[in-house]
Amino acid sequence: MQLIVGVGDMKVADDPSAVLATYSLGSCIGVAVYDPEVRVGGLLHYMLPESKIDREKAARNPYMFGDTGIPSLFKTAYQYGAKKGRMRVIVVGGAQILDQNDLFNIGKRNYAMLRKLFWKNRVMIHYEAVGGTVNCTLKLELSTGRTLLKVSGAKEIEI
Amino acid sequence: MTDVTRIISQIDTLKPVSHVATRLMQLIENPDTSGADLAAVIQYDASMTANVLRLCNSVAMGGVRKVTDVKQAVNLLGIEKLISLVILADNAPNFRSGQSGYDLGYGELWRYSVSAAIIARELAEEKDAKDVSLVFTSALIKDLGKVILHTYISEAFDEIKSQVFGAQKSFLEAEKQVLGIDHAELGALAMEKWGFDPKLVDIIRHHHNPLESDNPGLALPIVYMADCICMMIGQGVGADGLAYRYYKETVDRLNMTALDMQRIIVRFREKYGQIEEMIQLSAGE
Repeated sequence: MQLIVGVGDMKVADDPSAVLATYSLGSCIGVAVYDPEVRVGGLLHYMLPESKIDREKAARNPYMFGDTGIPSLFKTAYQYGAKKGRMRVIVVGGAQILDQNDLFNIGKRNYAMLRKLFWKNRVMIHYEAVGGTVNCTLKLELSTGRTLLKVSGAKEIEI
Repeated sequence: MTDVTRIISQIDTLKPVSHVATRLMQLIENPDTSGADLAAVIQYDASMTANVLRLCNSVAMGGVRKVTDVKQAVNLLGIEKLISLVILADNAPNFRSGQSGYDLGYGELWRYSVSAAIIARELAEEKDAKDVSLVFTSALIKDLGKVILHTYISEAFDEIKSQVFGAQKSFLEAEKQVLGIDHAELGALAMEKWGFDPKLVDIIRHHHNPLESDNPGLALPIVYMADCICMMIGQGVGADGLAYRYYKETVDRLNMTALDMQRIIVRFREKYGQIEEMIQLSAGE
């Protein structure tokens, strides 16, 4: 069963038949977490780095923003029984338009927010494909923990 | 026939913009045109009328009152929004099929185009720009050239890819270098052939390289910015990804901050359910 994680959305599950999938990541970032021991997996697709631009909307939907979405992803995975020390963490997206060297570069700022939070909370990244100019899709199979990355214009690969 | 001439000749395989849409766009150029004049033109075309009413009754348009004729639709929505619906209904057939050369599945380019048009209209209203219809229409149909070019992209994809990832070219520059023409120019040629307003042709032609246009208005910077935002959000983006150039000078003309842009992205996300409904309905699904 495929559970689609939309733009600015998150899903965490422990159903072994589930495949979490998020499509068309541009400057947005997709974070997948998986604990193989309890087969709990989660996927977040956030759009913007900081919730301070609209606290009210962030309270309604924390998954739009990195600084509220990332903690929600980890906390929810822990509620399902996942443990930080066992979790695989995969990060993709954060792409940029060519020559975009100003504050409008949301891809870079999204990634900076993630690094800051991971540094503070001592989270290790096991695989990342961040930046560049490509658009991609990320899938996570909960029965096996297999993670599949499809960059537009290329074949799907297992990571 | 040279390769470029062969590609350009494919414009004839597209469904041209309907007489009704062309007539409406001429009418709104005239400030004396009334809603009743527009309704009279739309009513002449039964399938257009049906499409407009269907979209008008969707949640995206408020959907509180059941609209049963075009005159009511004009009164309820106003001229600008009604034109947007006509243009939406009219253009879906060219866009909705997949464009495999760009690795775009069924409906993806249409999703991208409608999203860009909605963001562009919002920017135009915010900047109090004239020509909201021009901005909406240009943002919606700016990638028409991709509908033709994608088959040629498929054949030359490896070469284009090496230009983009090896030689650091933009996807547009790589299209031009490898195929002799890029999708923006091809789209502009189609619009020219169909007798569109030269302002619209100029926006389509320069939507990835706005510095080459000498048009002083805000319409082109708005369409350019809406396109950048859509690339970043990523919905319906294909193999060309975000490999287009960013021109700070163009963005500066809009006098907006990065924070303003983020707020637009948040509002887009909030309305996404409604936008999705509009995409599906306009694509005839």
